[in-house]
Amino acid sequence: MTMTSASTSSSPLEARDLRLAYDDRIVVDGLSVSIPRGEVTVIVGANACGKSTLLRALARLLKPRRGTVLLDGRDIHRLPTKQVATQLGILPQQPIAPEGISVADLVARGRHPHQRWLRQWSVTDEQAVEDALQATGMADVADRPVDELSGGQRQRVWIAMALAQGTDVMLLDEPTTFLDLAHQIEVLDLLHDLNRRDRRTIVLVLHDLNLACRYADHLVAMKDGRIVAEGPPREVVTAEVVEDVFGLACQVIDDPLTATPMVVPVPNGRRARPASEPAGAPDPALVNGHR
Amino acid sequence: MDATVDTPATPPAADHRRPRGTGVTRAPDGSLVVRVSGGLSARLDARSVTVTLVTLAAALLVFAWAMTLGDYPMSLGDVVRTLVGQGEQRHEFVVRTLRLPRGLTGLLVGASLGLAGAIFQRIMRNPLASPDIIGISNGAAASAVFVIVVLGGSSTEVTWGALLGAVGTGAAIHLLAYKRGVSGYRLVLVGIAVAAMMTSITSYLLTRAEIYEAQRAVVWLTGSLHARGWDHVRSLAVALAVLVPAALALARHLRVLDLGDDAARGLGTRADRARSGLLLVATALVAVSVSSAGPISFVALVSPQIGRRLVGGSSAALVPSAALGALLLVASDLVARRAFSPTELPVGVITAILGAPYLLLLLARANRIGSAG
Amino acid sequence: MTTVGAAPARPDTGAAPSRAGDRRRRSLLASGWSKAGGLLVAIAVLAVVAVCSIAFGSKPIPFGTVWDALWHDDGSNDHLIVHDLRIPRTLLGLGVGAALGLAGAVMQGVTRNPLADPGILGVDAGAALAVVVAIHTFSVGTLGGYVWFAFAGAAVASVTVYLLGSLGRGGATPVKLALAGAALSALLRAITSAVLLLDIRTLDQFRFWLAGSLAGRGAEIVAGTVPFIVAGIALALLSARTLNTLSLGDDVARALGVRVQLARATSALAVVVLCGAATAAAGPIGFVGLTVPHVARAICGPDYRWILPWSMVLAPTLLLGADTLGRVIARPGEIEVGVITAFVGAPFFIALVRRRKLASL
Repeated sequence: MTMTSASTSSSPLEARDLRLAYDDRIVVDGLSVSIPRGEVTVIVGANACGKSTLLRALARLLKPRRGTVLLDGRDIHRLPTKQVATQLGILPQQPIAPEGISVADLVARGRHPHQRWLRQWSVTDEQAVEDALQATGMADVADRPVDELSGGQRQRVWIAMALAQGTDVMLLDEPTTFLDLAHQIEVLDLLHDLNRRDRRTIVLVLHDLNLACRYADHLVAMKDGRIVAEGPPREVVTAEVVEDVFGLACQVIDDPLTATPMVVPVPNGRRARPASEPAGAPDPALVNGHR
Repeated sequence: MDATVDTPATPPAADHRRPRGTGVTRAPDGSLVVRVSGGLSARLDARSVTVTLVTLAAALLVFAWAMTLGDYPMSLGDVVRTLVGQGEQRHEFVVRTLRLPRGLTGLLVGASLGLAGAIFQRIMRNPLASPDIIGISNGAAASAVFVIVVLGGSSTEVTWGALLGAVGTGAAIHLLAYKRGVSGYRLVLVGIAVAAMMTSITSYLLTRAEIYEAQRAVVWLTGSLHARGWDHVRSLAVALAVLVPAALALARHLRVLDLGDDAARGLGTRADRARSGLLLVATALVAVSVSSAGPISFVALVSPQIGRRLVGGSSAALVPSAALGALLLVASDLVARRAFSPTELPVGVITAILGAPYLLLLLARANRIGSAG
Repeated sequence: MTTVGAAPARPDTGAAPSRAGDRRRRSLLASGWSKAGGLLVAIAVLAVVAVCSIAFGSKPIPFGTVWDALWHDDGSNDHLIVHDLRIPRTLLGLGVGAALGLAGAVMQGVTRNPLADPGILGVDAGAALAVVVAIHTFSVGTLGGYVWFAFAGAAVASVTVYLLGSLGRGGATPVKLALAGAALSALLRAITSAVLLLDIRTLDQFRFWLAGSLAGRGAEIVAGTVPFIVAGIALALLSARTLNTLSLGDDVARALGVRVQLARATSALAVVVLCGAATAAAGPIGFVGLTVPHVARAICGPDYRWILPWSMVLAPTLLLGADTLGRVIARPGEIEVGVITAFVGAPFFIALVRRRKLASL
């Protein structure tokens, strides 16, 4: 595949005019997107808007009915699978950890694309696993079974595996779902650090819009299989866009700690508290009801 | 967000962790790694190798012992002398034509069943997965019974008939289940339907046969090593010489297939192809075993389980399962031959009698751990 | 096997949710009215098949004579055939078919496993061993004699399986039942094979029972097994609503007030009674219990209040149709129903599997 214009050569991962479908149901049609190099891109949208489907197509897990996905300017479906695996890593939604497997063993499996018949465990492999464990803070628990770890730790192990794979681009499909808030932050901080440290291109699907605003350099908002808005969070996340994409009435303020956009949903009439009342005062409606 | 975070620089690898360029070291999954100059390295699971060697030794011991027992008992010395060509005339026939090929068939069939079972359990990620579901055994059975009852065929002809039946049924199931690709579930359902048709044919033939043919058919259907000769050994050896290397070559993909299809693809394995290839090899192993010895139950189910417990680790190991299958089958055949002497029982009866308590043991363990249904 | 962040459902699977239009595609008939109407049509078809079963057979008898025989009995050979052979046979086919279809549907509901068939409780293996023992040890030679042994064998085997599966924590869960059933069935079959091979006379008699047939079962056998079948049908139909709730999982079912252990035990009892009676009367007939519920589900969706009656009607249609076919194509003899049912049903089933996604439950 010939390299195309300079503007596309700066994007490691790109989709052009994609049509994606499951059986007869078209989920995404005519979608084009260009993932910026070396930044954290987050894809957001309501349930079933096609964000996971898009990620899977970018990760070569789903073959588009029409259109192409380009990895460094070349059609991803024409490249050998192993080669793609050395450039692009994916952490899918529900990875399976074999029962009883140790942390180090699982991370080591990330080296699979680099291994051959007679290069089964090279020095590079060993070093890569070591580095990955250090970077994710999992070196201390390297010998423990993955089953025994907390949700946040387990997710970090999977990220370590993707890290050991040694790719420039990492795709993660909802890596924070089912984690409590502290663990969500832990995982997202780690990804942010990896991006800043190595200038890795990271693409995430998140469903928490506020966290997405905090961590994304580039935000992609989707609705019904189309991209509604794209750009830095500050530009993308406005009350109008949120209403359009999520159907949620809200106010967008600045996060008091990070100055990124923060979405505050508008409460319905019953729950709204007048601004003048302090938080601790009893709700007048309830007090009357007690009678 | 650009709030600076204190990211510690990657600390230099501690000296005791610096990877060694050449020599022997240990990989994270516990296996030994041998590195030579030129960047080449190979990985050996020490425990797996030990278990395999010990099991094979045990199998050979049982095999040797079995050679001495029978209607014409002889000492081990006699056996060895006969093999070398210096034995007595009367031992020649018994050893060379009867017991030796039978024992070898047992070893080879047991090994293929163990290997096939391990592959199935690994791919389906289910300890109860067994090659029997797919209906190939039933196809082989129907053809074999057909050859016995209708054609009155010899043992070799029955074997070929069974093999044709297995291959034909396998191909038919695959074709019928194919619709823009093969989904596992559709394959199982079509397999069940085809298996039912094959079983019907078998029942029908059994009712229309002469009683002695029916008896011969039932013996075959239970799984038997009786009168297995050098033809069987040769065909099995050839088949295994092709299938075992194929299985081992594809086995490296199992390491990532274990993690789920998406993760496997992300790591550069063509998940569908690897899985289809492995299933094909496993199915071929089953077809060859069933043709040679009939549908012997339990060996394929039990060997990988025992192997996993002995070797440790998180999933069924291929080579130890094969060795265990071989041991299990020769031992069962010995019991089958001698337990009800002078009558000889088919080996399938014994494997079932041994296998059932094993399943109950699994059940008891599941109870203690309190696994949810 | 651990799944990272294991949880029952994902909020966004990346696929569009099934809108009403898609849901309709999953079952052929959507509304209650069409399901009821369809059921009436199915019953009509069953009636037609039953009539054919009486009208056709190994010996060609003209319709006029058959019609005549229904109302009078003039002692002729043809009338004898109709009265003593075809009518009891048809009735038995209706009963056995309904029992097998229903047992299969209940079994799949209780175990939440679409690949379950009544045999996993050890019913077939127990019945077979009991019949072999009857022939070998007690020298029983008549079909009527087999019936009680078979029933007893089926009952003892399934109770044993149930007890084994209930040991330990959690009671009788589907996985434990399947394990116990597989283990015991294998053991019983091994013993059965051993006996058959040690005594060739037993094999000679047994192989005919093994094929599964409606032939030669006189009115006494019908009369003997029908009460059990009726009782089993009643028990099964009453459990339809409970099955719906059980399909949501044990925890949810408990939260909705279902006594899970009791419900499972009662359903298992229904299965054993139905399948035991059917096997006792006609020998082991496979395929029907496993596949008819799938067809019923494809037609009317995952509601057991519909699946059960539909299974009850579709299964005897298949069985009687196959039986009639077996009598007609092999004149003057016949092909046993146990043999031909799979051949009649399998192609249809495979076509169904190809055409639509058979939902898992």
